[in-house]
Amino acid sequence: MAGGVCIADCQYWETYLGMHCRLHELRNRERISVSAASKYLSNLVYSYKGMGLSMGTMICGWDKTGPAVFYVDSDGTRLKGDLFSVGSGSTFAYGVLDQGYHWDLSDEEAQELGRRSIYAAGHRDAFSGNTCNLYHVKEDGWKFIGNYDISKMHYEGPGNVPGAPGGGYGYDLRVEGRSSANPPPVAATA
Amino acid sequence: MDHFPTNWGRPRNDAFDAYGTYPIHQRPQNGPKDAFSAGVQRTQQPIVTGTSVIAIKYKDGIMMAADNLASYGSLARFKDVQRLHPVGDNTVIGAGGDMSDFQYIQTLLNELDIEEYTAQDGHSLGPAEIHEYLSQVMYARRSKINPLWNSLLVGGVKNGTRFLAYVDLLGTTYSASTLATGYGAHIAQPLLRTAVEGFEDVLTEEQALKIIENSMKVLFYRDARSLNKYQVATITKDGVNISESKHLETSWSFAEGIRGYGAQTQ
Amino acid sequence: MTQPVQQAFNPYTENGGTILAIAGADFSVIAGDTRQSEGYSIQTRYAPKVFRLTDKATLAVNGFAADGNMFVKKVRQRLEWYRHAHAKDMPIRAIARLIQTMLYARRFFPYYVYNILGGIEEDGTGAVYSFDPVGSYEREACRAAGAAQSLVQPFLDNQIYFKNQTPAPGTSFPKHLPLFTVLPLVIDSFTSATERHIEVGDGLEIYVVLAKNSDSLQGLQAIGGIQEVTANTDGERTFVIRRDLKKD
Repeated sequence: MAGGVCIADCQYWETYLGMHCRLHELRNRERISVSAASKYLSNLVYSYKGMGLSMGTMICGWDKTGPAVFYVDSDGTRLKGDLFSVGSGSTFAYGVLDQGYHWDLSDEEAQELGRRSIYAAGHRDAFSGNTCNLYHVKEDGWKFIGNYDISKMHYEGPGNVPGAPGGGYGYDLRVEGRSSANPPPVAATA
Repeated sequence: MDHFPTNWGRPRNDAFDAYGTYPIHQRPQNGPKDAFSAGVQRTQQPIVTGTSVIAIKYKDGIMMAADNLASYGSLARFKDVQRLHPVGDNTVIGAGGDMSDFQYIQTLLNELDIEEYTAQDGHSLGPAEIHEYLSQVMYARRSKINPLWNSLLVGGVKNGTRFLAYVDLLGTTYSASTLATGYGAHIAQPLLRTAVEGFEDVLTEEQALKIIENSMKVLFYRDARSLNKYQVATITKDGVNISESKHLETSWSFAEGIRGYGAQTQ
Repeated sequence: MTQPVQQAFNPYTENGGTILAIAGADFSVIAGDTRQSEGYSIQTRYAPKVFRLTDKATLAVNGFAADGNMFVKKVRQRLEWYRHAHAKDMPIRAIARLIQTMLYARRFFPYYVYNILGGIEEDGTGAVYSFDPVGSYEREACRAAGAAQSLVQPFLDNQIYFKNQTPAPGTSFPKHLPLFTVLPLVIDSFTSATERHIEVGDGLEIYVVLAKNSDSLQGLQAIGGIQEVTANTDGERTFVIRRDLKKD
């Protein structure tokens, strides 16, 4: 599943979808809805069903109906929901996502949850990692929040960003006060 | 107007696979139908085969050789087959692999030759053009998963330049001053390389012939699908010459002295 | 429907060899060895894998040689059509997208070829684009592909991206390396790959593409056996450097 071909499938068909969303905009003088865009893709991949396409995608946006997230995969499955994770590391991300999610997250909380979830996947899944890109979609369009190094997040944290608790996501939590170089507070005072 | 709804494009209800049946939902086939498609036979393995072809560059041109055997599996079936084929005035092709596919290639090249001649435009096909043509044909056939099961050498001289190149059933091509197909690539090629590399411009026809003869002999000693009867093609600025069949002088008396080689029982 | 026929024929083979490309600030280096092999047999000691496409783009192909040659042929054909239609060379980022669509068009019977495209972007920066056989691509600073990818890429990561290195206190690593640093890295990559990989060797062809008025021109002429392949000296310029590699 983590073979090279799924990268090409995603890259090619998402570019293709982008072109058709732009065409929709030119033809109809309005942006395509999230639902329609995702359906475009799901119908497309369905017409190739059984031929070996391999993609898992999430189409996220804001239209007349408000915010929406659609899951579309190469089997042709298309689901609307408010929480998805996709790919070989998705189970690790879901673990973090599910325990941290509630419907009225603030912007910063939501960004931090996304960052922390991908960190978990990047850390535990052999086929995920290196860095994480974070985007935030709101009523006025998408915004690139940042690119974060997974190893850096583990040891030092994502840096001084809104929503981050400060400190690393992984390392300190496990070794704090567990070595003589870094003695626990009790041992230090004694 | 096509009155069959299943052929109108994406189907509506009748042909629509509502339950996403695994693995492939059927899309209507609108192309031309071949009633005999099941009867079409593709070359899935070679039947009557030729073994190695070898060739070298030398001072005056190209020298190429192949034996006269066409095998049927391990049976030495046809022992007077010519596997060197002249094309035009400057080129020879030598073929290993399936001999029926080679005969088809010969007809293709003859048609091409006639077409070129009939044009009477002052142009003629040289070895480079014939090699390019053959490689396109071979690659096109492999891409249809219906290959012409051959390894071919193309050699020739035109406008003072020597040309020697290879093409096979996959469409793979390459060129070098010594080439050998099949078993020859393993047995003869090292001998040819040591004898020829660096001496392409000084080797005389006699020396080249010696090298070729020696390689054919070594091949005959070790290649079970080879024959001691072979032909040599020389292509020089003066044109193509394909020799009469030659016989290899071999000696097997050494076998007597070697344990496990001759007739000893112990 | 035709029923599936049992097929013994395998339309692919692997022809060995290795290619790499490195982008500098205003130049790009694209290199490949010239050995072509199948299994343990060397088919030829000279079969080029690097091809000049335009004055500012050069393509290296590696994998199944027959597919590679056919692919280069088709890319060149499309670039010629573009020249006829628009009276200019296609920019490299457009060539990269063209290559993606051409590769993906064969998604279900792929060209078994790894492509690396090097050259000069319209803004004058050095560029390297690398592709997988079905067309996913990325712009990078350096990439190795082919038989010795696993030997060469880690070396490049270390020497170009300075991976696993810590800068001396108070200093930082350069973002782009100069040509006189890059060329020895390329040559060393191939001599090392030749030592340790049986499918690499015989000869090395290095294409250097320089941006308009590039400073890297100084010192380039001093390199032995260098040969210019561009006719015009007022635009982007391409040079070839050939070196022998061990033949064993």
